[in-house]
Amino acid sequence: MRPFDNQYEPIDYQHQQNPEKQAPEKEKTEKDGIVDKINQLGQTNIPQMEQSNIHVLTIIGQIEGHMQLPPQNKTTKYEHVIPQLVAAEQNPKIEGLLLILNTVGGDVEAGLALAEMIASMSKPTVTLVLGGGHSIGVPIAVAGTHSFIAESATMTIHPIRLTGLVIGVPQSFEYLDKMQDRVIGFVTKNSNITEEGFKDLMLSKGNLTRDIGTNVIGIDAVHEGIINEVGGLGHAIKKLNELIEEGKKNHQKDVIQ
Amino acid sequence: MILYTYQNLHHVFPPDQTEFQEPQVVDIPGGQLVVEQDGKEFRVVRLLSTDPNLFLDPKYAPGQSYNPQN
Repeated sequence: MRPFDNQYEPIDYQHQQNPEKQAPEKEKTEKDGIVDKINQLGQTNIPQMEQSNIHVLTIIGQIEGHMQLPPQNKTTKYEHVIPQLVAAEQNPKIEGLLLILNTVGGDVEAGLALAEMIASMSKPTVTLVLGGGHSIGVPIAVAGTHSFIAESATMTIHPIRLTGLVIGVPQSFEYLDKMQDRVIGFVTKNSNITEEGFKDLMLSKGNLTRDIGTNVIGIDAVHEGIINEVGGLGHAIKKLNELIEEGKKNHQKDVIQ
Repeated sequence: MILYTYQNLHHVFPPDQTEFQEPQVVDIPGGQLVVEQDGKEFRVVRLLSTDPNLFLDPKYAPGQSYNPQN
């Protein structure tokens, strides 16, 4: 309050001394408080349709791990995705998970962590590679119960690389080699490709102009045994529903036995 | 200026640190929302949720203004 402000405002003694006169105003504010509380704590949106038993997880852009990437990058952060996977596994209303991939790769450990999380889920998961599922996107793509790739989608398989300053080259080399083995191990365990087959794709020359590695497109990924089928969204949802039904039947059998 | 270097672009031009603080993540029923402050208002950047129905809610569409109160 500015000095002398109250000079011009006569003090309303009568109003202050008469609590009855004040009462209706007080009641009004109390009511507003309740309305506010309903607004804050009540149901925020009226359910317009049945709750979906299939949830969708999109893995887009770079897979971001321990390093925060510059903001112009589109990223999938593992600290966002991991709790979502836990929620999907734990929520009894969610019966299946559809994963849609369009990724350029990224952090190896973050990618492997996501792939392991997906592979160890008890609920059926279907992955669909759209556009691209490169590098560390490959283990994530094979982590599902069943995998699809769009006809035009590609997957680049190449050796693991490290950018930036390296201190202790021989140690780093060994570490990278082991990391590559972890990726190869995961992919061969979760898909139909053999270790030799995958290493051949990873280290082959002449496919990527001056680089080693292979770019497999749609049907080629299926022929190589990395992906189960070529398909799109309709196929993926249909397969997921089939897997959910199968799971229910098996569960019923177990109960009867 | 022409550069000829073996170093990565982001090592030569490190990203501006202030840009990192811009997007904020807020919890909403059923997921999270990435919002960006635009003056006094918040704008929705991205919805982080596995529930496909939430993506149909126009409230969470990218570009919508977000009010933390409702």
